[in-house]
Amino acid sequence: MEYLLIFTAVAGIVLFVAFFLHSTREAREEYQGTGGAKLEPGDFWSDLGPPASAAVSGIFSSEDEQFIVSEADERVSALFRRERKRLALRWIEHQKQEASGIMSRHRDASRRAADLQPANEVKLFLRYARLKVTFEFLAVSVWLVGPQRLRGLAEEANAVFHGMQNVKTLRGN
Amino acid sequence: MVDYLIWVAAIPLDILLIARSLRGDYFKRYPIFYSYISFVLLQSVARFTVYHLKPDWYASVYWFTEFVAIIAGCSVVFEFCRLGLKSYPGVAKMARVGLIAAFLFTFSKVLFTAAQGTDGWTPALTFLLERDIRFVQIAATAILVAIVLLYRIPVSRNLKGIVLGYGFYLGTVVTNLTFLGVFGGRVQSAASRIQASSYMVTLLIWTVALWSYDSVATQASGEARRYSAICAETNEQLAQSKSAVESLLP
Repeated sequence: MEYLLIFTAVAGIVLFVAFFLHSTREAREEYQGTGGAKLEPGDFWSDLGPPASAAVSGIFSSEDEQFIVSEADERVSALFRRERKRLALRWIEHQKQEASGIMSRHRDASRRAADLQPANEVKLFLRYARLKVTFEFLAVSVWLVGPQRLRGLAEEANAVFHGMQNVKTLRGN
Repeated sequence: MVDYLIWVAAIPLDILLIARSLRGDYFKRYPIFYSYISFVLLQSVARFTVYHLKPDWYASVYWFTEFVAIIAGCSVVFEFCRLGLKSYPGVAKMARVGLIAAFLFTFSKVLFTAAQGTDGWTPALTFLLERDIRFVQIAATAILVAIVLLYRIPVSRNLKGIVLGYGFYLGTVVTNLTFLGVFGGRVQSAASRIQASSYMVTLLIWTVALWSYDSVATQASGEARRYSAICAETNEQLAQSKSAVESLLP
């Protein structure tokens, strides 16, 4: 029985890792193919000014999808969804690389600082780790449900969470 | 016979390492490391002598010198930390905190194993206690190496060799002692052969890495910024990155 449990746990972990790597591989490969973090002026992702952030917001909104679904056939809709997912994953990969770059620059600068504070370094590292986990979670979610449905999913999760909080409050009263 | 040959062959290698250090004046540059090597040489000679002259005493001498050697082995990690991070006081501070954390975490395990010995000290328990103490050293070495890699601290060939050799030895010993603790006398012969061979490989790594002196890299020139300013800048950039994600979700 114990061996069965261990085997199931190991198989589960292997499957999860395989699934996780598969979900982010496409974006990673494409991102590396485009030259990684080397950005040129005018690149779509190079700045997060109003036009770029509006475009990113557009990728994750469902308005375009609703329009395509109402106007085009199933093949065009599928192509649209695939391209949107690709773009979203690429944006997430770009953000991950940016975050890694921030920490890399931080370590380069702080290794020479005589007044380095270990507690602050640990706090920064945890903050960075949390950010990385968010990116990974986002990538898996986009791969599973697509960028357009992500917002709806988050809203639903939020509503469920608030509902649970309300039940707890009622029980407390 | 093979065990005996490996054991005997390690002594000339120890002598060669010390002779090179005296000739090249490396003893002054790595005093703690070479003191440790000298101690190991004396230990090997003492064990060898007792083995031939007073075989009954061998077990007691072995375990006494083994535990002294384990404590002395900590100095290798200390030497790496002292010389490798000499020009980086901030990172050295970080390493000290990491080493203390590793020590506290793993020392509790050592105490737990030692506490089991109050009911009766078995050979298997002795192996496990040695393994736990060695594990403290592995954790300390791993943390130190991680910090050096993370902060991209340039390390000389000599120091790389010291830490690589010692890390290899520790890894082999811990694996070996785990098997000894679990399977007992059945694997004793193979275990002692593996342990002696691993020390030979370690000596070879040290001899190659310390054959000539490679100066410890010093800090690159340029003005060092205040840590608080660097930290504030990084925090701000991470906050921007976080808000970019949060703006997508409600």
